[in-house]
Formats: sequence, structure tokens, C-alpha cells
Amino acid sequence: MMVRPFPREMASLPALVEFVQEFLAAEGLAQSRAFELDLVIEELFTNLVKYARGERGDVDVGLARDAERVVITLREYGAELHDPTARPEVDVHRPIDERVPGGLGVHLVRRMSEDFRYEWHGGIATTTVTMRAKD
Amino acid sequence: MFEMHMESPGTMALSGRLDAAESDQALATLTPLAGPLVLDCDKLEYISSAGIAVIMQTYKRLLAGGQSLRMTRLSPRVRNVFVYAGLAELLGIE
Repeated sequence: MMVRPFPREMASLPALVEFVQEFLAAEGLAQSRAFELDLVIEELFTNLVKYARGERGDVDVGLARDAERVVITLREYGAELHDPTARPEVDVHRPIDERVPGGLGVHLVRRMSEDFRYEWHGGIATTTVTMRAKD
Repeated sequence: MFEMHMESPGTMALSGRLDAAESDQALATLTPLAGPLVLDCDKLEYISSAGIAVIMQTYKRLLAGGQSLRMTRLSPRVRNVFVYAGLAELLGIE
């Protein structure tokens, strides 16, 4: 498992992309997996940049794998409860004029993952997403 | 790295990664443009929900003025994000 702290700002996105590249190389995983991993990490990380309350320190991003799965974790310390998995599902079939911004990122995470969960214990908040390791 | 340039009148080429770090600049570039507008995505490598929001906002602005926005030459992965977002048909993505 690789874990690295990232400052909670949009400017961390290039470093997160680099982190995914290092992980894929270390695990011998195909470059083609980068897109969905980058997207899920970006959506969850930017939600923490924009909406999370509490101490707002660095976010520890972890990447791990077994034979078939990649597990992404985002961990915050001193965090207030803010559960992204509790967001209501976006109805992507509504007419465009009736669609409101927001929620699309979590919708994409749901579509691209096999499992999406959130835990909060004493200010330690962990979001865990499980994805396929191969296309 | 994300870049845009007018490749012909009415056609804007997008290249690189349209993510949350680039979306404000992308919207600022698109906002002064009148339609009909075509976004050539041949060199667009990546898009997230922040990029989709820019495209949707531009689409709505042009539609309100009686104009159109269409997207062409998307990679399968970029196209997939629009499909998941329920926007592929709307934007003329085949």
C-alpha cells in the first residue's frame, strides 16, 4: 500500500496524477487504468477541498491492490462528519434545464466503483472506493 | 496541462486534461464565444465533473441565445464520462 499526504487545495491535482502513475508502475498495472483512478481520486479530493469542515489539514491518499481490485482511501484527521456516500443519486435523465450543478462527481464515482463507503470515528474520516484492477 | 485554441471559425480545439484545476480558465475562455460552436476533443485526454460543468454551462448559455454546442472526436474514455453523466445525446456525441 502506498500512502501520501496532499495539501488540501486544487493545486494538488497534478501531484495526485503523478502518484497514480507511480502506483501503476510499482504494481505493473496497465496505463489504461489511470483515467478512472484519476477521476475517482479527483472527485473525492476536490469535494474535500470544497466542502469538508474541521481542521482541514492535509489529506492522506492511499492506493492498494490485490489480484483483482484497487482500493483507494482518502483519510482526514480532525474532520467533521461529511459523508459523500449519503448524497442523493443524481437523475442524469432529467432534461438539462431541470438539472442543477453538483452531485455529478459523486455520481461518476458510483458508476466507476464496485464499492464506495465512508467511516467516521472521533474526527478521523475515511472514504474508501474499490475498483477493478484491470479493464 | 490543458490548452484551447480556435482551429477554425466556430471550432475550438481542446487538448490535455480538463480537471478542477483548469476549469475556471476554460470557462473564462469559452464565455465570450458565440455559437454555433464545435469543440474538437481529438486531443482531450481527460475530463472530470468540473470539466463537464464547464461544458454544460456553455451549452446552456448558447442554447438560451438560440445557438448550439456540439462535441466531436472524443476518445472512448472521455466519451464514457459524458455517457455516465447522461449528456452524450444532448451534446451530439455519437
